[in-house]
Amino acid sequence: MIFTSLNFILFLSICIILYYIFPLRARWFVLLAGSIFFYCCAGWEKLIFVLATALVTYVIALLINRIYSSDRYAELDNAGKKKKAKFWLIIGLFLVILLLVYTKTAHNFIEPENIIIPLGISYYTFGIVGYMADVYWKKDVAEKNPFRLLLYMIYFPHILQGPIARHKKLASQLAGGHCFDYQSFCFGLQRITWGFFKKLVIADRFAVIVNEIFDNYTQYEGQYFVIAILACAVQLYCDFSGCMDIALGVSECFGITLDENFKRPFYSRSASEFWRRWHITLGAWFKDYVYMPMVINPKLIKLSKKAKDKFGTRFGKSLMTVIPLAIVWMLTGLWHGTGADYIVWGCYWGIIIIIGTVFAPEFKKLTKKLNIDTESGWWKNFQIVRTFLIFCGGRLLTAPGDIKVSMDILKSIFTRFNIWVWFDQSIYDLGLDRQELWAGLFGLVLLWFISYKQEHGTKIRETVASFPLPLRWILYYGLFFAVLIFGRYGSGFEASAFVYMQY
Amino acid sequence: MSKKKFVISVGVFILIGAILFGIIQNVLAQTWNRPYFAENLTSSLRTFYSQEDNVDQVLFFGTSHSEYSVSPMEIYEDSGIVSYNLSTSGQSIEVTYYLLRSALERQLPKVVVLDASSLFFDDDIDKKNWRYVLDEMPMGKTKIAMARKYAKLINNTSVFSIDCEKDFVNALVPILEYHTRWSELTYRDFMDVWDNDSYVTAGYFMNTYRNGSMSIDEMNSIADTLEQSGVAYEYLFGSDDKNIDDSDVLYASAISDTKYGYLEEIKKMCDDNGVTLVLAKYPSIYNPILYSSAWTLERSNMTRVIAERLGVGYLDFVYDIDFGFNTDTDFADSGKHLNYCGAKKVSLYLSNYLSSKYDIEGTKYDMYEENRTIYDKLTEIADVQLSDECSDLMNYIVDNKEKYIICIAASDDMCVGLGDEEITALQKLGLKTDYQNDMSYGDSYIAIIEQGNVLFEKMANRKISYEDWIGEDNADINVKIISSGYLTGADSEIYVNGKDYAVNNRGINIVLIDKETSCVVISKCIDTYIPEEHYVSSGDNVVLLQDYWEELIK
Repeated sequence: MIFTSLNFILFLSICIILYYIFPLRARWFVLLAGSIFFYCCAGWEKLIFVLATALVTYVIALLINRIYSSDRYAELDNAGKKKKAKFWLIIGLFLVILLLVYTKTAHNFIEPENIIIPLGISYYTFGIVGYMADVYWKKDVAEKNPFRLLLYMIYFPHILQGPIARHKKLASQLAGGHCFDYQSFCFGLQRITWGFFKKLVIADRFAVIVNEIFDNYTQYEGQYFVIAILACAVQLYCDFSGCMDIALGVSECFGITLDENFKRPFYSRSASEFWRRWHITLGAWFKDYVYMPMVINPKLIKLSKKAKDKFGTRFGKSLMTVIPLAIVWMLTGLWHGTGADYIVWGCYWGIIIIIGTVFAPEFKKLTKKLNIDTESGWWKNFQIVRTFLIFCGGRLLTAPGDIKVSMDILKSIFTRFNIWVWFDQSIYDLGLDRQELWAGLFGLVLLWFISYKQEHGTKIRETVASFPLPLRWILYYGLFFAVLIFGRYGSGFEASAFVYMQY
Repeated sequence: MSKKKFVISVGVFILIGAILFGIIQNVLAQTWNRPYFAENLTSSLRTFYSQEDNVDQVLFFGTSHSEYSVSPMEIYEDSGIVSYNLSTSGQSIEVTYYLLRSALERQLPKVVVLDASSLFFDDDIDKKNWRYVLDEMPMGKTKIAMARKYAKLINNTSVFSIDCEKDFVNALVPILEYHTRWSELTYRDFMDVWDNDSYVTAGYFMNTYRNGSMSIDEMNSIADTLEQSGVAYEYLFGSDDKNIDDSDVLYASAISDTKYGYLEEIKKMCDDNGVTLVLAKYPSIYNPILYSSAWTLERSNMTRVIAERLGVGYLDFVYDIDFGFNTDTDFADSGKHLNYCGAKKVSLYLSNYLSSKYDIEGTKYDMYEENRTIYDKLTEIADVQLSDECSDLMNYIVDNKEKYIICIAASDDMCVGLGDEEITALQKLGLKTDYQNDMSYGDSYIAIIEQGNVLFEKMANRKISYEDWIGEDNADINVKIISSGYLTGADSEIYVNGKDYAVNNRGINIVLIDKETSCVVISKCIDTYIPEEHYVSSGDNVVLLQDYWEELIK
């Protein structure tokens, strides 16, 4: 059941009604029942994997908690407790990560149709890995109620594509019922509609061009691929961030706040900033549970010290950055997919970010030498465009689905000169006619305007709420009917799944 | 904000949203509601639903055959019987059942005439044939029941399924299906929201093409041969065996239990409402293997048996009724459907039959009285479009020259076989050329006459052309005419506002532009090369008629 289907709207309406009908203390139960139903819609057999994972996580977290708090282990000192807890943590991590690795790699040795891939496994696995680690680090306490842990894992707004929520932050919100708050509910609905707009009006429209060109790449050359990559960038952003808007909006309707996953990434001035604005919760998760533990790892510190002594301070310091970053980006690539294209993609981003971090002093010197005012508008815009192009480069590596095809496309872009396809109406032969394409572009302009305002500090929903009533209603109706009329849904279109659902 | 104010505010917001939703849905979901939307052969069901209650004395249901064959306005003008044609393209008997149910909630006719074609449909469901009716039916119990049936049939299920529920909702909320039409909306899509009773033919689809059919005997002979040929077989050169499929016959004629069941339901519904049901079959003569609705003798006999079994009347316009039908002149498309000429004959017969057999007395109905003016204009043009008599055409032009801008262009040759009658007619139009003495074989010729005044007349032995603005203040209509004789190109072009309307055959090419609407209504060519044998050919009659139709109802 994808978010943009009629079934989901019906399901959500029922959930919301039931949620507010039930007594405050039992409202979490409505969310759990709804989430189980939502999960079962993707196949009841998948639920078995989730239940097993939840059970393992529940037991491991309780065991770790007991080691720290039970009198039974009172004779152990802190180091001893930690060692014992670590044992259970490793067991837990091994089991849940094993299942994740299995689902990511099973297609190599089992017929794809025989593999059961639990819905949202990449997202909830990261969530529970973080949860177990937090319990181990005493940043969080173990959940006493297994059903509440299950709800945290499969809470339906975030199960499909995230955001990857932290147990400590989300579980308490889920467990405590929320009273109906008119503003929160309205804001939720607005955000859902905006998400629908991004997905159905923009993303699914540009997806037509992307699919047409990449599915028939042998028939196209040169600038057609530039068009496809640009369309692909727009599609992915609107698709993923649109889904996040729906997920966050749905949660808001229940009075629950999920973490933001996007912060206008195309305004980023560097690759590392881009990843602080794009899929924020994934980046934050890697930072907290992979990067930071490595940075403070005694073995790495020792290695760095050795390198410092042998090759100088700069080298030693850089090693402390390069090794964790390289591992983080390799894992990020693997998280997205185990094919060669995603491994290369991970390396691509890793190398760019490492170069940017390690050689930051040299870049600073260079800009100074060239008398570039790094705070000037043109330089900022240049950096924004550069970051966007880096992102497009990343899309080129993964969107065609085969690294060899990506290389062929790259070659074609630089060897085939057909710039006229931008101007000679050829663009209308890529699956979208004139009106359809312009509808997508108008949607894009609206998205840019909203993003621009947000980037400059305007809180859109609060601002709209302060407008006079007629204007406010016109905007609400306008957005709703824009989705209804210009959205690509219904029997003429095959239901287009969200891109990030595959991870 | 107080609680009361809050509730009112939310209520008003939802109410305005619902109204906007309704309007937008109406604009987007009117695909089937065009009188001139020839491709989908649909009727104006919406107009039916906008009628007052209990005004229709007779209702017609059925497929495109009925839609092309019965003109309620013709019946009304003849006998005063108020009827409505609710036929739609490919209307299956299941669809008829729900449509009749919905119709009887509003009207109490004395007679319902049902096209028998749909009895022989197979049980496959054609989605769009259901949507023609479903989308136009007002919300209510019958629509919900029909939508439910539709969803079950297209999903081939009788139990709950998500897809079935989705199709059920889609059927009740057409915008979900038709929102993609936003890029093809026209002026009329918006106007129809406010003006939904502008369709003047009461469900009849007027067609002015003329293509004759094979004979009835020929059709039955083909059917017999196909039936006798037994099992179907295929033989591929080089292979040893013939591939014989004894489950697939070349031609079969059967009424499924489902169809018969629905017919019984319809009969019961009619009985319960005190309505007389009559089965009818309008002419459809075609190769039965190429056209499933061809009315073979076997089908006619089966229908007669069923009609007798159910105790309903049966009107067979192919085998039983002599109504002056002509297979050469009365078909629009080689025997599948009737043109206006054939429909007029059927309608006049029905008018007489209904009033005499069922004692239905004529009445005066304001809506039809209002529609008469437009309908009569349409039929006047339709008659001229369908006529292939040179003298009829010339007489019509002479008699009605005040109403038209007449554009004439010769192509190839116009004078060799020109007779006295045509010359007299041309002179009556005010033309001065001496066609017998001055004009030679292969000369070019152009003439423009506006409401009886000759604006331009030119003859030459080389290619000639004319272009000017004609109309009030000389600014309404741009006319460009080109003529060339046999030796200089054998061509005629008559452009009206940039579009070429000339038939461009040998002889006199004539285009009539209606002054009232600025529409081209007639495009003909009279081949005057062979004396006494003046063949008249036509342009795209239906397109011209539909454009005119659209202008008249604007």
